[in-house]
Amino acid sequence: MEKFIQLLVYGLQLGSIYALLAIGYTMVFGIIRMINMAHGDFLMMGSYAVFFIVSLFFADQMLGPAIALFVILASASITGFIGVGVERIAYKPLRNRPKISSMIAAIGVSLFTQNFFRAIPFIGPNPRTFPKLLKDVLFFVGPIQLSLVRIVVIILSIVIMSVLYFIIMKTTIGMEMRAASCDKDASSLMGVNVNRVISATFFIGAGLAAISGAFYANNYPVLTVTMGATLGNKAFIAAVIGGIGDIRGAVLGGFIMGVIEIMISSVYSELAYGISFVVLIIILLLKPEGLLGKPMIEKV
Amino acid sequence: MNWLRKNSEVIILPLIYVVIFLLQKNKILNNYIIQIIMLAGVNIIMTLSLNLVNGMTGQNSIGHAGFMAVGAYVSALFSKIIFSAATMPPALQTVFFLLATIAGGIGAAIFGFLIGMPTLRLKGDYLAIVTLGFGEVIRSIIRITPTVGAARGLTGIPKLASLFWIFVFVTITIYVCRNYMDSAYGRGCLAIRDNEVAADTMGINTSKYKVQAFVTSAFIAGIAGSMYAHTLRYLHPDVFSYTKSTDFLVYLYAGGVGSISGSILGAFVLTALPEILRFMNEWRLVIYGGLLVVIILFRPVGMFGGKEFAFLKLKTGGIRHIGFSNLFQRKSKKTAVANEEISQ
Amino acid sequence: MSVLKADHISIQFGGLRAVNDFSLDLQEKELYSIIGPNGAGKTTVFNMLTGIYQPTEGSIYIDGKLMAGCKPYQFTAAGLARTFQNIRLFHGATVLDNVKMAHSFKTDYNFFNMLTRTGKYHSEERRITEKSMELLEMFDLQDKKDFFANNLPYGEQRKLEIVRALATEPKVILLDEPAAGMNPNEIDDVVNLILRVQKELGKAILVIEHHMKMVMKIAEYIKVLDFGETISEGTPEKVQNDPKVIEAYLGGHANASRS
Repeated sequence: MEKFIQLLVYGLQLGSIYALLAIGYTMVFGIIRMINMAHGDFLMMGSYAVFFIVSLFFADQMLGPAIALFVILASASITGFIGVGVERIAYKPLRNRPKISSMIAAIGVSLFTQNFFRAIPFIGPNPRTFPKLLKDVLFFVGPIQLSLVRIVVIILSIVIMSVLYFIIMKTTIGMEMRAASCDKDASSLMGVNVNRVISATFFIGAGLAAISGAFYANNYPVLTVTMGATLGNKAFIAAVIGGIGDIRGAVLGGFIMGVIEIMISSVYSELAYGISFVVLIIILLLKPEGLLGKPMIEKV
Repeated sequence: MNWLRKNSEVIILPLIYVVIFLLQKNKILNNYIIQIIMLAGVNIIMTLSLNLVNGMTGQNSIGHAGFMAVGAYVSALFSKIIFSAATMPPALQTVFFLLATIAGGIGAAIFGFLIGMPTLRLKGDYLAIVTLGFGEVIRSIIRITPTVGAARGLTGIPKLASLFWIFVFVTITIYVCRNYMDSAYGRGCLAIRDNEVAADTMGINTSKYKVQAFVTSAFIAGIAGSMYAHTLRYLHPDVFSYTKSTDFLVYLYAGGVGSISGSILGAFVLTALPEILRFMNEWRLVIYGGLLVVIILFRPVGMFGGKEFAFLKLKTGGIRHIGFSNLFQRKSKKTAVANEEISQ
Repeated sequence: MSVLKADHISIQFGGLRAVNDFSLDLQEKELYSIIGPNGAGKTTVFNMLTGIYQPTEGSIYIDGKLMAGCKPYQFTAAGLARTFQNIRLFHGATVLDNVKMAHSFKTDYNFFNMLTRTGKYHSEERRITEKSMELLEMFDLQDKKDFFANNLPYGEQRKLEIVRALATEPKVILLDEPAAGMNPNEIDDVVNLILRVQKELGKAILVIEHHMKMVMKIAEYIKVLDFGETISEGTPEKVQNDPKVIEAYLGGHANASRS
């Protein structure tokens, strides 16, 4: 039982990382119906951004919570702007072409960024060690050992996701996003600046990916240029399980994926990766639109 | 003579082989280059296989390396573990190589059927997601199966594939794909790609046509897997990851989706390109990725522009043919005009 | 002999009854028409008659054969073809290929004949091409056989859709607003085309159309739908003078002010 709760906490923490990443997939898909294969690379960029900010300005010090948060947010906005730039250069010209072309372009972007980062000398092919942002405190609740940082990561993620939900449901830009995801052409006729909405979507998506990158690297402190690929795949699956296009679905899917993965790998670690796909296939066969998704109907 | 002009492939294809063969014999092409040419052949087969699903039927498979993995492992299991073909006399080896290849194809086709049946009925991107998942599930299963070497990989597969056999299988695949596209079956698939609802009301059993194309494609991918296994002699589950699948997608879309010639050229050029760029060291994949984005942005129909080689004699789709016989004809017209001018 | 029979069909989407108790009996070489205001359920009737939707009640017979639970392609195989309100051609294919595609299900060679080009492959391909060309010539499209379908002018796209439907060798053909978006001259062409299909080729035809003049000119029998109910039916003269029809088209208010 103690083990179960401990694993559950680990699972929720990994799940919050997947959820943050999955939101980006789902938002981009919701608005431009594109699977952004390069989304995982935003996670990589974000964690490298944190790494460089810390090693340039705060080398060898323990950061206070406020500074840590500031560093994370700063790298999130840097990554956000990169995300907007990538969309403008590589995806925008493809908006009216078959969806698969923008997916191929995304594969190109992903190849480019990963290898570019590997090629430039101050990043290079060797893994980097991520700095400890916060001093971890271990404490006990009854017989269960818990880590403060893990709890903080889960809570922070939930706070961030709630803020995002508020932005989407209550603000003007959020309303424009929802309008654009229903019907891009109609909403542009209603005065929604679709370009601005798509840029905002990429900014938020890439920013959240960067945050999840920082959280991930805080736990598994090895940075490589390809770290985004596998994580990105799993987050994409999470988005699909929850129902792609639906933000609540992405969050739910993320947590499900995280918990399942931790639980399974505690039994047999080689299986963890494959099982998540088995879960995906089962869910798709039973409920093709995902847990919270709405079925797509073609009008004849 | 007229027949030869119409059927120039009868000369051209063996000629290409003989040229490569002679270059190899005279040590102008070293083993490394020959190996790359063989891998390019494998990639051509894979890209043609993907073209049947993504190009001809308009369904998106993004995990095709999974079928290649099934083909590679099944055929290696056949030739190495069940029959240990390495110790056989050469003639028997060839027979077992062909049997292993067919076994690999059938294995992949069975998986293709199991995946295609439930998912191809659904509309939308489900096939894409499920094929992606399938590829990764297969990889995980291989990783925990000790018989095929688990996560360490499978070594010591007999080297049975040769330049000749790869050339033969590439040629067969090209003609199978051509025949498929230029038939009622292929036209049914093209109709589904263009408008599924209309295809359905034109009497086309859409699920059946889609599953047929998908299973055929998986079979061909399995063949490619066997070629791969018996060329490199070593298999590792991580080779057939999702990245491998995206490689084939890239070859297909950069070459020109839906076009047989585009698939061939895309696979060949993009297999060769990273090797040609090798002198740029770590920058080569940066350039490769950048080029890919540029091709997609500025050549929507692919490098080859949706044209087809004349020797394929494709009739479906109103294609512009380019090829050797066309070149001859154009030249002869020009000379005819020139002759007239002189006589005047 | 009845080629298309709908026996009290209804369909329900959730709580909404989109079409209620619709019946139809179309004999060989007859030309019927369904009219009604927007949203009356005309296209829904078509979608049921072609197997795209399954009626929740009632049954459909094509050529005397019960079509319960059948897919659209089986409806086509039984002898029914249709066109669409928003043109649905195979836009990436040439005009000739569009027609050949409609022959796909009637070819007589199997998968391995196809892959190896043996057996009946060559003779069948020749037969399909010849038949497709015959149809194109009949409707003056032979010169455009190598055009891509989406490069044709609008009127010819509609024509090609009808030709393509004819290529499935149907007994009955369903036309969904064949004159939508056309000017009066083009409408005359469509009228001639439809009458030719009926008289020369001997097909039974069911048309949905908004142009009243055209419907009155060609239809032998008209069914009027409103809110999914059949409110009137009969010969053009009878329907034209039915007060219920006038009310449906002009609205209750207009009727009240007139009285």
